[in-house]
Amino acid sequence: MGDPMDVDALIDVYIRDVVQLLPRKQRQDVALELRGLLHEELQGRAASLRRTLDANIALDGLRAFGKPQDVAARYYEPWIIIPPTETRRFTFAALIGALVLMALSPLIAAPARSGQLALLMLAWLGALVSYFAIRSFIARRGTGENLWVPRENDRVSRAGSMAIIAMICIGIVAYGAPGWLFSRFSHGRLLPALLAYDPAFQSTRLPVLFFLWVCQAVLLAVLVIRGRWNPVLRRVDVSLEIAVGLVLIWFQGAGSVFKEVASNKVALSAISAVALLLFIDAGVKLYRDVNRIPPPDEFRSETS
Amino acid sequence: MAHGDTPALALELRRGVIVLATLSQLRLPRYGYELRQALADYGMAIEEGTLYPLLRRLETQGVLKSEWRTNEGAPRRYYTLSADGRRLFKSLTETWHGLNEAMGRLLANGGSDGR
Repeated sequence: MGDPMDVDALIDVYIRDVVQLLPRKQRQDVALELRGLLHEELQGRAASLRRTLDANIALDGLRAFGKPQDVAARYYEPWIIIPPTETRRFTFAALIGALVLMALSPLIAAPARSGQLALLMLAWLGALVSYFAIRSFIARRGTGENLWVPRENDRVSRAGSMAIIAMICIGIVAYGAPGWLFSRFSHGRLLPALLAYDPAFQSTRLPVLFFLWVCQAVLLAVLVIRGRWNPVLRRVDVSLEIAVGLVLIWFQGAGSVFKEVASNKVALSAISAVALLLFIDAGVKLYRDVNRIPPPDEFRSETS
Repeated sequence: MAHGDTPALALELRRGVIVLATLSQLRLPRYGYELRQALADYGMAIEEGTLYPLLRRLETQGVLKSEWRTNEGAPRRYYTLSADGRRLFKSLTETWHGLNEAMGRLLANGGSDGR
């Protein structure tokens, strides 16, 4: 064990621990001021005890001054990457992401699975920290300017809903009659063989997806007319989304989508990714629904 | 309410007046240790780990101005109110008197309004 530190050494170490946590331009100035103040504080402490200043008194005094991290934080307004109010959301997102990645790990080739999974989890955490850091940076820069803007969760964007209805209609035509659509836009040329559906898929499985898309279009049309969500419509929306996700999983296991092997492989990968996104979105919606603050009864009766 | 919360709440209550107490003693230049002693003499003991960083923050905000002086041996940083600081002190003093009167009325008769 080395020699115990003397008073000056203790003060120097304490100051070093404080100022290294400060912005560079403040360090020298704060160190100079703090050194003088600490000497006086510790001398005063020893005098009040009617003793000569020694290392024990100095150590007690420096501990009473505060932990270097706490003291440094009082010198300036540190930038907080994840504010306390966002910690729960961050933890939840990190956990859900880790669980999703673990659930998907069987898709990774076996020899490199654990390494790849660890890398993906780190990447997810990195992406989350970056996202929260950017949010925090924007909020910090916008202090006093970014006024709160009220947003009604139940209000529906009619234009947005109509755009999605249009996209569903286009999707049904594009996926239901790709040959016809291709010939319309290519002056009568035939659809490449690469994009020819497997007959069983086209006759039995694809119509099920179209049926669900039509249901979603009807739901959106109801929303366009009403202009507001209500609990029943939200449940129908999540149910349809989960149903579409399940149908896509069924596509995975029930056989080929395209006749060509290469096209089929690409299609099944894309279908997996879309199913995953749908389940994540449905999960988020369910979570928000569970955490929804119910409106007062009289307000509820007006909105339902 | 649990009695264990009392010290923390009392500390929070005191924290609200630390800035005003500090400004009140800086119409003339003072350095950190001297200021802390002056505040303690008036019964407003402020922890050194709180007061010294506060002085620097107030200076950064333009409320205080400071200068190094070496005429008494070791170099010391002396703080005093800036023009903005004097205006802030006047404004906070008025706020404090208003609060003091309001709290006086609220706490009269042990906090009961008699109704």
